[in-house]
Amino acid sequence: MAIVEMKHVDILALDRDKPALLREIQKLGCVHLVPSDTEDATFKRIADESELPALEETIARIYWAIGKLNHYDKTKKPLMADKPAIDETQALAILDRQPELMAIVESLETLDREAGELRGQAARVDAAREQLLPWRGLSAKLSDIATTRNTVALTGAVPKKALDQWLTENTLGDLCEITPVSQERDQAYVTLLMHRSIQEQTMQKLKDANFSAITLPRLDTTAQEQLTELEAQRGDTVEKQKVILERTAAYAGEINAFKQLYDILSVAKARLLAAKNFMASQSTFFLQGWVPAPLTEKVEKQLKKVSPSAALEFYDPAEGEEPPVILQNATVFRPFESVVTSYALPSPFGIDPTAIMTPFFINFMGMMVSDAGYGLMMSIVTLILIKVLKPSPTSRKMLWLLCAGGVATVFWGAMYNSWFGFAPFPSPLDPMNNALPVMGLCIGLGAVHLFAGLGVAAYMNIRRGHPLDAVADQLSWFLLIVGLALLAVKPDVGRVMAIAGAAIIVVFAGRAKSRNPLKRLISGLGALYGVTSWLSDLLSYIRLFGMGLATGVIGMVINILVGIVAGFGPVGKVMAGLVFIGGHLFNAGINIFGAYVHSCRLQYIEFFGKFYEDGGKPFMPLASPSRYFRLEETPLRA
Amino acid sequence: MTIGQILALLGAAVASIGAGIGSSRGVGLAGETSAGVSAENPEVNSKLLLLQLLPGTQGIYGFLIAVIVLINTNVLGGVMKPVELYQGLGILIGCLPVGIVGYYSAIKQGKVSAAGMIMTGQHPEMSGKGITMAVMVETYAVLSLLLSFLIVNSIKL
Repeated sequence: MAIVEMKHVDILALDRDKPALLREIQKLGCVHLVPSDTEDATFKRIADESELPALEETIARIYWAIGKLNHYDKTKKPLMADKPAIDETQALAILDRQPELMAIVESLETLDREAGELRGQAARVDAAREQLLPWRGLSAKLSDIATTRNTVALTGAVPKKALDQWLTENTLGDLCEITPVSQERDQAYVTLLMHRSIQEQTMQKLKDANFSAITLPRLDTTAQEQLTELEAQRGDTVEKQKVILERTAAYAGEINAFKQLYDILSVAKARLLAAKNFMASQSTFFLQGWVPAPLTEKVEKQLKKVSPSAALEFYDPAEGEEPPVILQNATVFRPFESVVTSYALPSPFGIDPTAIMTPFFINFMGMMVSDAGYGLMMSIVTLILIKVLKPSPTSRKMLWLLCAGGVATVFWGAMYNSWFGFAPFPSPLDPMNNALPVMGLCIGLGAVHLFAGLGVAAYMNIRRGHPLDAVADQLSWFLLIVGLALLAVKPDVGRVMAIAGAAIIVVFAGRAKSRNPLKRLISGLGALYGVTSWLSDLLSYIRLFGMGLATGVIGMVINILVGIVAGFGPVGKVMAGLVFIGGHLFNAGINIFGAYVHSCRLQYIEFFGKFYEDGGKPFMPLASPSRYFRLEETPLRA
Repeated sequence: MTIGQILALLGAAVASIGAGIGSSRGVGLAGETSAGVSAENPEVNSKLLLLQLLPGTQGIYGFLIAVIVLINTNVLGGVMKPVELYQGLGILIGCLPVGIVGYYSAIKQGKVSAAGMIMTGQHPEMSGKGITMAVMVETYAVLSLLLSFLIVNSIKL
């Protein structure tokens, strides 16, 4: 249960030691750099970013190449697996190959350009074919359909009905020759040859009939010949595209090298970006940052090793200054840090609630999954996954969390007497037929949870030297709520507690708002209204009962279905098996997810609402960011 | 078949239909948004899946109450128990909370989920908050489920 204590660090070192020092800091991965700030006028902000744009462009090109080759990479990606590691020798080998690899990127880019041009060509050929297809049957060369001194030639499309009318009624007259070429749906393609003298009146008739002129390319061949030619061009393009695809795919084997190079260069980029924070004099540079207090000695030792002349100074943060936040818990609680951080990091002056939240979290989860069979399944499957898949740290933590939830589920499932929807044993709690005690238990546990939250808040007040606040803001509510609850059992004790609590609230709740006793009293009475929020908080824990009930009943329904299906002979038995497995897997899946989410909600809204102070900035040390591999050593030259 | 029996079956149908339609609409809405956000930012897809699942629970709650009605009236046992008119009416009333609240809360939850997805698309680290927001809506579905359960289960045949 701890937010790691942070120390400021100032480092002053010789410029020539800069690369080595930065590499060492990056290797340590525990110094959070901030823009340096000094009033000494000899130090200027340095803006040496000359290498950065070029490096960024290289990285972007490599990333593009990786994306390109990914389509052709046929190696299987292991599920959830940890990133493979590369050590320094491998990294140096890759760096040696950088020119060669960049040449490959270059040829990939060329291939991509060519592929783009081919796509354009293919589209043009297709468009030309599309246009010529209706004129396939035209026996004349395309250039022969031409206007002369006395005749006008036209090609175009006209609705079939209009064409029929022209032909049967001779609408266009004898001086116009109509040659139908082809038909497509209700359009007819025709060539028209008319005498110039009737051009105008014919054009008007054509317009009335919705004739649309089509200009054909003036080619010295027939449409059919041209189509054959286009066909050949198309085949040629396809052939070329295939070659390009093959040549691109041939590089797929290098994808790992690219990924390694990407990571190595990204690390170098992180360092260049970090260097923007420094200030420099003529031959020294000055950097500032945060280091976790327990690591100061190690940092000093390692940095002195690479730069003996460097001056390091560690000191406590100034009053009111907010150090970055990182959580550090005992191994058992570490998987549950993600529950806290996915809400918000605690403020550096607040408290890390991971440890105190954990038992509530897993038990609430267990009560909501509430089937011992599912619990066993959760624990066993997650343990196997951890052993077999060797997952990355993040997945591993998630799996551990589910495993712990599974254990709690076995306990609560046994209490509710639900084993894969069956109820084989006599049980102390029966949500189905005797709901009230179970609901009472849920609300009772909720009260414990809320009081734990109050306790943390009281602890924080006391630690900050405000024990009176702990009495006025926390103890008072504790007395009031417990007193109200006791009214039902021990009215005399309950009454005293409730009145005492209420009195403290009325007198003290408004103390920060005003000095006027009357105003204080009014706002104190207003604060009493907070009882309603306690009521809704407590009722919220009914979900423990509701979600648990849902799992049990759906499990039962699945078993009833299985029973029905199993009645249909041997085929029915096989089907029944499938329904049983599929149904329970579905039920378990959806309920484990629901339980996780609702358990989170109970922490975030009800529990954290009582004490949590969020708003910490995350501790982000200069480290080796990597996407594909784990870099064990930062290569010297990168 | 008596009117009481028909009312009881009507109750089961109302629970399942109301919550089911609501969930279909909620999940559908969330799914469309999920597809849109994934198209922009494929890496968050798996986070969106959780958000899409959330409005689906109301349908399950409705189904659950329907099945409890069927169990209590022994429809699943093959022979339906006799149900008095007032008992049937009681069961029908018991089914209303989950049917009606399930319908509205699933749609609203779908909208909150969709908004959470858009947020997740732009700030993937905030997916947890998006889920929390959507779960806020779920509370009322759980409460209606409980009320329905308590009423339906209190009617002894």
